[in-house]
Amino acid sequence: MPGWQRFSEEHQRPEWKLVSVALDHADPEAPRPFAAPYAFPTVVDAGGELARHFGFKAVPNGVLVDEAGVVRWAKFGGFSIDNADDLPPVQRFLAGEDPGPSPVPDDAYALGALERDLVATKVRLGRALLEGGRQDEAVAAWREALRLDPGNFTIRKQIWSVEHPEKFYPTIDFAWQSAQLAVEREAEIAAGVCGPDGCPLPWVAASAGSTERHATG
Amino acid sequence: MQNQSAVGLPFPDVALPDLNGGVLRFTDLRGTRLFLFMWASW
Repeated sequence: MPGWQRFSEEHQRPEWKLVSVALDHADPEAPRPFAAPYAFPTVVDAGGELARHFGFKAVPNGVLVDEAGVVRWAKFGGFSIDNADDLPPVQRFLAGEDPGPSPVPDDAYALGALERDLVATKVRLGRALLEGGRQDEAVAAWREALRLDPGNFTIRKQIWSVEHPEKFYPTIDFAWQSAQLAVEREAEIAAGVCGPDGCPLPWVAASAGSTERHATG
Repeated sequence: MQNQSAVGLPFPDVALPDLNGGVLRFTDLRGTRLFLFMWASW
């Protein structure tokens, strides 16, 4: 976030606006300490509306929208104003120029619209359950969402932050996240929940080099 | 596949709450170039 404030202060013009969108599912108040000192508005998408619309599975994201409300450039996951690849499109666009092509996502795995809606519904259900003090059921709903969309880091991290709050506050333990992800993915693949890397079907020879999406239960 | 379909299409007509009890409707921001940064506290 500090990069954002610096960028905003150095480059702010009346011709453009910076809007920060916090995607916290469990606690819409969680973004407040991160957003408080800054001049630009911060809104909270606790219900995952933008994730449902765009289909992204990771943050941070940068989206550039023109005067007519049309998306002109987007990067979902790994976006940073301090990134040498991400800064030039933003600068060009905010100077009134064409931003150039958006980065091609590495992850070719994409849910269909119906699956995305189902995942989004389970995320909202979990949110409602958590608000009602039913944390175990909330996590269960999120786990169902994750089973459908195992590449979705927003859901996975939300489960982690609720079940392992000590790994997120006061500081985020990224080493723990890497280790935990490896453990969880191994268990998921063993259970047939494969996600973006696919699962080798038992009758496909290992040397065939192709993996098909394994049907999830 | 996801963000390839996003570019060139309108930003969705959503209204999201800010941290001060207000609501921001993105269509109200038309007329200005927007730089949206999406993040999470985790």
